[in-house]
Amino acid sequence: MPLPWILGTIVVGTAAYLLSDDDTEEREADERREASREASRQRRAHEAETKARQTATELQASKNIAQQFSQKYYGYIPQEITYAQNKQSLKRSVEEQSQSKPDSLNKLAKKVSDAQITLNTLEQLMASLQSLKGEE
Amino acid sequence: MRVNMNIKAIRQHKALFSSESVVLLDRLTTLKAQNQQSPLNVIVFGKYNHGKSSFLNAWLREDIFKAEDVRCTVKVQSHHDIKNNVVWTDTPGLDADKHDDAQAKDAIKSADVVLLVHDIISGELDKKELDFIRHYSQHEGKGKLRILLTKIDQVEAELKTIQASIDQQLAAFNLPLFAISSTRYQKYLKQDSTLFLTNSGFKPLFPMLRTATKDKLKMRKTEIKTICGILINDLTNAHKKYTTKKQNIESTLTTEKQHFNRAKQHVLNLLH
Repeated sequence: MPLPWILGTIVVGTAAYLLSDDDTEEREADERREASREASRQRRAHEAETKARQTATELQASKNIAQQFSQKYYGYIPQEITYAQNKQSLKRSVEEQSQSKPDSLNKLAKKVSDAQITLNTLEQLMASLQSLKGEE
Repeated sequence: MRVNMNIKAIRQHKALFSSESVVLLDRLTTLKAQNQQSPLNVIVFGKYNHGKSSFLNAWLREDIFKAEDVRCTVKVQSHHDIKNNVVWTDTPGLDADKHDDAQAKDAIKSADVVLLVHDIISGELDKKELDFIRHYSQHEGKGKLRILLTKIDQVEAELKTIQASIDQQLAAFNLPLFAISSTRYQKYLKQDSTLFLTNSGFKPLFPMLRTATKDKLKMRKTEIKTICGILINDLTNAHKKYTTKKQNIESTLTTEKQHFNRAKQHVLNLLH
């Protein structure tokens, strides 16, 4: 009677061994998949973070340009430019501000108009003196 | 439509005239306000102690102006000879000091006639007198200036020589010249001697002043024309200056506009 027992034990043992080996592989494969998913998640997160940082840097650089433009031509920076959330709104703000003539151009235009008024007055004075001269 | 301005309105724009022209503008105002009844203004002008006050006192037959051998006229003094309707003005001596010079030069701005007094004892006219004659007779004093050579009684022998060289100095200006002696005229007044009157040289002054009185309106009209001409010339120069100024500002404005549009486009392109 011992032989069948021995054989039975061997069969069961082998099967158990074989079964246990299958579980480990599956777990390992599972772990590998998970690790790969995690790596992919991290990569995506990193990429997203990098992109966000890049967008923020680009927005700040654009704001700097827009602010320099506003400061140079208008002497002040509108809040819409300082707090613009994206390039589109920044562009809209710049377009809106640049609809009006800058102060420096207004001042020059005023100077031209003042000079013209002076020229008109001078012409009137000359004509008046000419007439005064003719009266005598 | 352009409306001509009167003198009052013109004066309101005196900031557009040069400082020399503002003085002329004042004179023009005075001249425009004068009429036939306004007195003839005779200004006696010249270096100090050359006999200005003595001449005036002799002429007016009254010691109205202080006359001594030292510098005694330190401010402009006037006397209205009502009978002849002439205002006589004595001025401080030219060349005494800057303040006196300024006062004297200020006084002649209102003159119809300027008598430049030169003491013949001092010889020829000096540079300062000649500079004044050259400038005044050719500008604002055109037709107004006459030369009085005083104290001729004190240079009997050299009179002709000195007068000849003064005539030569004045040859280019064509100015009436009168050689006089106030002392002799005073003597004539006291002694009623026609010889003193003749030798005083005062006689030719009477017709000269009569003519000046008669012609004062004509002279003033001529002066108004001259002043208007000078002022128009001044304004023409100012007009040129302002035209250039305006052109420069317009050019800057065009450049600035271009810079602005380029900068705007550049910024908008960057924000695209």
